[in-house]
Amino acid sequence: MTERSNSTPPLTAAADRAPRLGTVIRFQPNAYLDGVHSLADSGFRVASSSEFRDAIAVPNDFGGADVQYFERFGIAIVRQDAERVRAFLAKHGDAVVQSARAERRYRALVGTQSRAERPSGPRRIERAYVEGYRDAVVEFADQLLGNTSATPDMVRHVASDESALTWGLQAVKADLSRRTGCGIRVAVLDTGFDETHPDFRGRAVVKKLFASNSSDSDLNGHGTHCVGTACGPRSPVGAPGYGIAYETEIFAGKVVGEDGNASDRSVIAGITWALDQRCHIISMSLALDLLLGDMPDEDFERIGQGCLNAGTLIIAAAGNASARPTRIAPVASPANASTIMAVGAIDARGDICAFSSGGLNANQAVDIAAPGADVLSAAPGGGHRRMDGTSMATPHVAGVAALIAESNASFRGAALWARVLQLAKAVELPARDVGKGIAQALTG
Amino acid sequence: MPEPDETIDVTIRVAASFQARLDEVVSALNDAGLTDVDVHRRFLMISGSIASAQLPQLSKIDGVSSVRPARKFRAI
Repeated sequence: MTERSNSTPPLTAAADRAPRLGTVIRFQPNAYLDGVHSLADSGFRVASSSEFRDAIAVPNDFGGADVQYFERFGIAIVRQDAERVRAFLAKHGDAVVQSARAERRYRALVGTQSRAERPSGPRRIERAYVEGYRDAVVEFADQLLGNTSATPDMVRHVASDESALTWGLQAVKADLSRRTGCGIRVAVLDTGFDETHPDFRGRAVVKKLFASNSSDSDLNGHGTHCVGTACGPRSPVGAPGYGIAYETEIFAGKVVGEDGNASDRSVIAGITWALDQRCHIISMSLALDLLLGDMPDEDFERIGQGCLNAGTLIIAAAGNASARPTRIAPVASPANASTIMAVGAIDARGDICAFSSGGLNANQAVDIAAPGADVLSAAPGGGHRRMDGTSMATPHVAGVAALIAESNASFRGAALWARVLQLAKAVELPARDVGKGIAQALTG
Repeated sequence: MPEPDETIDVTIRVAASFQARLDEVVSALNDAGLTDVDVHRRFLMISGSIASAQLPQLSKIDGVSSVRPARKFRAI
C-alpha cells in the first residue's frame, strides 16, 4: 500500500545475531546415524533439530551445543575449533562423511544496503544506462517481430489509456472475459469494507468483525480498495471501471484492526468464517515479513490445505519488503505456505515493482503476479484513490480467479489454482518474481 | 524473555490423530491455565492466552503438537 510498512529487521542485524561460523558436514546417505554417533563418541556435544520440534523457538546455537544435527538432511554444523574438526574428519571421514565445508553466511542477492545507503551518482547513471539499453533492445525486437512477443510493452501500451478501465483490468484482460463472477463468493479479509459506497449499491455484501478493539467500519481504506479491485464495478460514476468480478457476492471480514495489525486469532477465525460461508476464494492482502532462511509455517500449510480440500482457494500478498534493485526480500507469511497462492506485483510498464518480495527461500515461491502499482479503486466515503502494493495485486488475482471459477464448476480449490496458473501470461521476468506470469481472465 | 507473570497470546496446533478428542485437549489446556480460548475446529487449532510461567505446561498435554507465540500480520 502507499504507506508501506517495512518491519523486516535488516539482514545485517540478523547476521550480527548469528553465532560464529563453523564447519558443515554432510554425512553419507546410508551413514547418518553412524556419523552423528561418531561425533558424539569424539566428545562433541550434539543437539538434534528434533529436540526443538515442539519448542516455541529454536535457539540459534541449539542451546550451546558443539554440533547442531539436522537429522532429516544428515547434516551437522560443528562449531568447535578447527583442529578438533580436522582430527574428527581424519579419523572418521572416509567411513561416514560425504562432504565438509566452511559454513557460509547468506545475504540477499545484491547486498543489504537500504535505499538511503546506496551509493548515488555513478550507480544511478549505470542503472539509467542499462534501462535505456534494455528499452532500445525491446523496441528493436518489437519492430523485427511485429510487436507480437509477450513483452512488457503490451502492458505499457494498455497503461496509457484509463478512460474506460484501469490499467490493471486491461493488463489482466478482464474486459475480454464475458464472465462477471455471478454465483461466486469472494471473501476479502482485510481492514473492513465501506458497503455504503455508491459504487456498491445493490450488491450482496456480508460483513463480519474479527479484529479486537475495533469498529466494523473501514477507517483505513485498505480493505475497501481491495474489495473494489476484486469485486467492484465496471461502470462507476466518475472513475474508470476498476472491478474485475463485478457480480460476485462480497464477504468482507475485518481481521485487521484500527492499529493496522491482524493477529493469528483473527486471521484464522476469518478464514474459518469464509469457509462456513462457502466462499470459493479468499483474498488476503496482509503479511508478516520474513528473513532469508525462514521456513514455511506449518499452521498455514495446514490451513491452506484445509481450504483447498473444502474447495476454497486462498490468495495472499507476497509482501512489500523488497527495495529493488539493492535488496530482494523473501515471500512473507502466510503467502509463503505452499498451499496458499502468493502474488507479486508489476507496474504499468510491466516491470516488477521495487517493493515486491521474491521467491528466495526454498519452496516458498511467488506463484503469479498482477498489477500492484498506481492501482485505482474504491475509497471509504464514496471516492476513489490510487494505492501501491502486492496488496493491490492480490485482489486482481482474486477477481480473475472468480471469473475462472464461474466459467466451470469444476474449477474449485486446487483445480482453480491450477487453472489460474495455466492461464497466466508468461513474461520476460524471473519466475522468482512473477511465478507463472501475469494473471489473465481469458475464460471465453 | 517475558516476565513470569506476563500474559502472552499463543497459537496451538493439535495433532490430527486427536481430532475426535479435541474437546479433551481443550479441557486440558484450560486446566493448564489457558484463557481467552478460541477453538478453530476445522483446522484443529486453538488460540488463547497464558501466563508465560505456565507456558511449558501446554506442550506436555497429550494431543498438542505445537505451541508458539501468536504473530501479528499487517495490511500491506
